[in-house]
Amino acid sequence: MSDARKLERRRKERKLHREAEQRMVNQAEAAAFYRQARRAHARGGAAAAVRDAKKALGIDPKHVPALDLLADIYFDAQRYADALYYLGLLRKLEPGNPGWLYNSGLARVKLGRGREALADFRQYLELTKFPANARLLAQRETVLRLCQELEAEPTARPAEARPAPQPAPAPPEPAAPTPLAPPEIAVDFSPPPPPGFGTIGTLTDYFLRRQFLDLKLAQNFEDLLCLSSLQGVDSYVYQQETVRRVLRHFKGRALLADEVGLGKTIEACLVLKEYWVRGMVGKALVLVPPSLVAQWKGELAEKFGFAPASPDGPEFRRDPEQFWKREPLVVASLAMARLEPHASALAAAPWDMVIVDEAHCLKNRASANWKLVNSLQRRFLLMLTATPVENNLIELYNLITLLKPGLLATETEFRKEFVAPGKSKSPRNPDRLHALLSEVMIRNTRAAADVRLPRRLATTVTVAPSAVEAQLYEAVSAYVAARYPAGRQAGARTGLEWLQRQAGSSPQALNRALGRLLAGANGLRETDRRELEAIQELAAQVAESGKGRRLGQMLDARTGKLVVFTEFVPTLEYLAQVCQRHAAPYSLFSGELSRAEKDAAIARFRDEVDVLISTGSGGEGRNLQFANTVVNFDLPWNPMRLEQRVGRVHRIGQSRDVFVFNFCQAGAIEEHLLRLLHDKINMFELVVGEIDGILGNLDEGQDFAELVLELWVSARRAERVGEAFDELAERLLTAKERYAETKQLDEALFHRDFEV
Amino acid sequence: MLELTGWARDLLVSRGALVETGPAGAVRALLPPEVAATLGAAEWLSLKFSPGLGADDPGEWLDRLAHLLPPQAIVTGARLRRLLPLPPLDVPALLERELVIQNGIYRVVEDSPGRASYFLFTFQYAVESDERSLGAVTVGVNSSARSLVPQPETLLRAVAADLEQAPSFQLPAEALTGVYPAAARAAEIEARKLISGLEETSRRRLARDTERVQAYYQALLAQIEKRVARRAADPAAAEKERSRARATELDRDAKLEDLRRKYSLRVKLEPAAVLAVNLPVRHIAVRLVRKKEERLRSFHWNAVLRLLEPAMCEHCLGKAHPLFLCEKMHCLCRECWTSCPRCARFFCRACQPRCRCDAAQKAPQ
Repeated sequence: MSDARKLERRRKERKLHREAEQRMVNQAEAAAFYRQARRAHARGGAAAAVRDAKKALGIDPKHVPALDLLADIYFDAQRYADALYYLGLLRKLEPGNPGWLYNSGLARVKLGRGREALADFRQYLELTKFPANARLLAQRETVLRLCQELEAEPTARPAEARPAPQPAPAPPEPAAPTPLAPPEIAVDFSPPPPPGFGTIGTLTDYFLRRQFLDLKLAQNFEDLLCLSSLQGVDSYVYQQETVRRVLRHFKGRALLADEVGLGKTIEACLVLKEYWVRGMVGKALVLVPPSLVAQWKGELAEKFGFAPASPDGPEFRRDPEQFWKREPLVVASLAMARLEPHASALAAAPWDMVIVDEAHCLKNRASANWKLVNSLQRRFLLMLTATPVENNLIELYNLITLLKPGLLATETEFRKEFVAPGKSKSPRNPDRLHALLSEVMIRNTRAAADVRLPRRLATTVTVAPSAVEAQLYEAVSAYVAARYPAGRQAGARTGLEWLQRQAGSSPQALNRALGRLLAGANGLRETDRRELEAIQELAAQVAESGKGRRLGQMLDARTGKLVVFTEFVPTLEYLAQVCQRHAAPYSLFSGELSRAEKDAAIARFRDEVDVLISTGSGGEGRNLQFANTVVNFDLPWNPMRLEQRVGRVHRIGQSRDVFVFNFCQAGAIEEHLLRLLHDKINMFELVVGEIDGILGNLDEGQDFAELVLELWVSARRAERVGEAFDELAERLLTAKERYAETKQLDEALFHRDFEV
Repeated sequence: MLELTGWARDLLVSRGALVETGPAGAVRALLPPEVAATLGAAEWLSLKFSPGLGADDPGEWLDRLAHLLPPQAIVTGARLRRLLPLPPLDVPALLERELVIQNGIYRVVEDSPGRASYFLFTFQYAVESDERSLGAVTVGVNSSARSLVPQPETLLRAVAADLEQAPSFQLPAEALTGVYPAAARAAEIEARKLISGLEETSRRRLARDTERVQAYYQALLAQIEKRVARRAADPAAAEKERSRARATELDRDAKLEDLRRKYSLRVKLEPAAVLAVNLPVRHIAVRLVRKKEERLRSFHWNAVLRLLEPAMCEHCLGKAHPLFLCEKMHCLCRECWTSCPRCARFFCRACQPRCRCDAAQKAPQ
């Protein structure tokens, strides 16, 4: 044999030897994983056993014991389709083994595929004509019995073809699940920028820059980069820890389920800002209840430096589809987003991050809300709710399935494992459920966050109007009531609501508003114009309102700092005059001031004067806990806005009880509203933020202010205003009770196991 | 934190500030007006980064102080303070060890001591998936020999103490533009190696999440399948279940696509700084021979690293070691001299991007 051939032969032998060695190594490794899987299975750890068995198969795809173990595990878990798949592989590897046929047949019986099971059993009987031992004999008898039962079933066809009168279409042969190749990670290098080397530097700068890079690389998610860019946000330790946990452990997909009043909104905005600053999110969608759109926009803009868009401006009206595609940060109401064509447009846009506030509205998988959120393309998803479970555990299942489909398996499996029959609210296997939930959920409690606030003590100051004031209010109410139904349809509801609210604020506010309306509105009918002019004349007659006089008395008797809130700038100016008449130095705060002027106003109130007069915008982002008395000169109709006002004074850091004086004119809407909020549901004694949860239970999709005006208008006609508000109070009380039950349920379910 | 303190001190001193370091790593500085304005700070600056009451935020100050550095990538000219002696070298033995030509031979023509022009590029890369990682990579290019420096960080560390600013340094724009593509390519290769751990982690997590989602949807589809079987006698109901199965499959595919998008790695490379320096080398001119063709090429032996620098592949600009030669004497790496999968003929990617048999060839990654 020539040298070359000898060399070639030796080379081949070496190669075969190497391959044989490698096979032995693989087999040993696979065997080790298989043994691990068996041990896990014996301990009851099915998931671990499956994982290790699959690892064994990854090394040695023909590892029969591992395939057998997987088939057993899936069979025991009643996942017969999966068990069939592995049994199919086993049958290919060992076609002469009757055990695989027996198990396949059983699996098919469980799946209701009688014909196929019969075929398997017939093959089995063929192979075991001469059973070698008693076990096989007993098994054969079982198979014979099963065959008889299957042949007796109507769906089972006997071997001789007998045409049925009307054969139903046979179900298509289900494909065995094909093993999918391990998914590949796409690694995309963006082309490096063209060289722009125009700057000559010093050697010192060269090394300093390199050191800077090293120091920069040492930063990770432990250092929150966004904190330095926040305005007027005091983020607490538990909030920052929550953000770190969401970023590092939950990788941006989490259910934030803090108790009310702990700042879930701040936490979500911090996560968004952190991702934004790091360049990982460039397009985000925030879905909220309709009443919170403005609040979210305000928070994102004022505190976090964003410029959010919402679908209520001219750009949206011009081209809604482009709006959803183009805008980097959108705040929208879920009620609107779930409607077509918006739902389709939203699903087509590639969002980096989606935030859903009040996410308990996603508790039903069949609802349009759930389907919308499920259809959105997103990398990161945050869901905020203080009450993840309201009625039963399936609601929790539906929420978690949005975050991580499959974490809680299918609903059937979830019910089997975690829901006790007849007890839909208390879980079986709570430890296991908690272990799974801890992969996606954070729930900080007031106890853990150590949030202790002093009391809020509220008083309603009902002021009897003068004759002219009473006549004025009645005239406005009649005007609004007469035009409300038509106005609502024509989209003029907001204007009518503003008129009614300004009437409840001050004659000065009403006068100014009417002046603008009469000067600018060319579409006013003549009758409307005359009526408005008459109302304006009445308003002009009131130089000092009853509420103004009452406030003056309060100013004369003041002993500490006061924050006086109003919704309207003309009322603010009027209150300034009241302060001047009563020699009460004051500081003015409104949204029209620049940032520096706002800072100066707050500083003056803190250091020099006793009274701060502020419009509603002063309610956001400013901490005034050096004062402890709030006067609501007029009342926002949305209780959340009322709570925000009080919250500027009653917040973490406040050491004294907070006194809240709510002014209203007798007979006005505000009087009824205060009776409802204060007397009936004790809003001011509730935990901060709970009113939001109660209102959420009341109605879905309707603004509370709109509800109040509708009630007023309809009840006035029937002259049953008091009764109508009493009925609303009853509904609120029921909502409050439901909310309390939900709160108890969540506390019992989650305890304190999900705090950071 | 001591590192940050030291860096802050050095940076402020370089900008003309009067600096003293206090106990526990505190830095106190009197700043020139323009520096104070850039930092948004007062004339007197006091910084303390060690943990404790009143400590400054290191992250915030790192970014603020970085504003004192030039915003774009800088090019620095440097030179060695003293001439490094070139040790004696057994050139044939060196080439025997370190020059590997797989399909040709070489003959030494001559060797001589000399200097070569080096560019050391520092690139910053950012990897984004569901988290963000930063990294830096240094690559070195010998622009005289058109070769890649094997261990650029080691080279830089070895000479850093001996470097001084090169007086009257002019920006070598043409040379930089010539070597930049090679440097960027080398940086990409290095970055890819460095992020392999991250890639593996992401792949594992994608596999785990994919398995979870697939198992979930498989179970859902199995349930639907059972319902289809049960409703076999009612075609309309069965068809409804089948369409539900199709919708479920679409949902599954969308979720899997979401996961792939989430875990995909997007890497951005940006040059941060360049150091241009001349270093002593041994020029070794060799004649490369393949069949009847010859070519003269210069190789450099790097006196600092004491290595022969490998040639650059003339197609992909990667490291050509071992070296392959084509009929036109292009110097190539293994990936750029492979056989066509269709006709099994070897062909040079520098001569032609595709084989003559017109098979689509992918450029080497």
